[in-house]
Amino acid sequence: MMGHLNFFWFGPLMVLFLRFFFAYRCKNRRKVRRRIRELIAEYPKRPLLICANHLTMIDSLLLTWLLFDFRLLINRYTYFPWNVPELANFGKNWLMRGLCYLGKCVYLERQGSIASKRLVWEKISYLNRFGETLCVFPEGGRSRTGNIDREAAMYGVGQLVQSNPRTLVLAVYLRGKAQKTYGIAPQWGDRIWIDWKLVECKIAEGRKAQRDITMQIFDQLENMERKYHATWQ
Amino acid sequence: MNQEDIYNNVVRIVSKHAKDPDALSSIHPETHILNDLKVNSARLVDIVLDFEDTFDLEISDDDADRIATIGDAVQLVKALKN
Repeated sequence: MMGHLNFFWFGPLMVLFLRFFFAYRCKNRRKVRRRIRELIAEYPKRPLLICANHLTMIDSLLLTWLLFDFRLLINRYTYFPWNVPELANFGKNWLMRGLCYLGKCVYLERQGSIASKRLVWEKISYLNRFGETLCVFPEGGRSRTGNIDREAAMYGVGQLVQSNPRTLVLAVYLRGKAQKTYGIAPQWGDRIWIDWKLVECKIAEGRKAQRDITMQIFDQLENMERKYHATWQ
Repeated sequence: MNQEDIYNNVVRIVSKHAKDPDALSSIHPETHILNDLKVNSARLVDIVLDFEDTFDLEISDDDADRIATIGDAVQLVKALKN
């Protein structure tokens, strides 16, 4: 409720920051958002799981801005995605913690205890079952190779989809034209390329299936990465 | 399968994911899989899946969470095989 109310000033500030301060541009933003609206209209009661590639520290902000209309988020705040940032990176000071609170975050401690990881799992699993949108990076962190890195795959995403097969899994590829490798943010004025695909996961039981589901998502991400390189590089 | 076979197989499986070649040369039962061999924590699931395939057993999440060292893995496999 507090987050929703705060979104009235926080949302425009976020757009101002990305569009005018960083001067990012995205040619196909409207088309991407229209497809999202169509998807939501077709499956209004199913939770979204955004599985994106990860290259910069502001990917979550960019994804929220580029995928969703401001009006949609005002009307249905449930589509503002929850994020799972690393506490060590995004919980350093009160300003960051405040921003993460407004931005719907569940902190994760990568080096934390098994109990703390289980608690995070319980929280995001609950949010997903409750119909909230989640944004996760299946590579766990920013790709050190500069491209989709299967070696870094985290199977938690597969576990989440397995636990709630009603989840709509969106593989999203986001990257600035000048983005050669991982970094803090796309360079000033960069043109951002974004595309998404609905992943129709084949879901089975067991731990192996979690890996298979995750790999199906990676397949789609790699397809889109090839498209990005073919288009812009 | 005796303890030595289990140990050798555990080392073989874990080694595939180790990022520190120096630590591999001095591997022993107390070697910590994450801290010493620098295995990416996300790869622990692959290691557990390989254990299940190699030793033909099923490892629960709780048991998997308890594996920290090579020795832990050997003891767990041994206990589940008996």
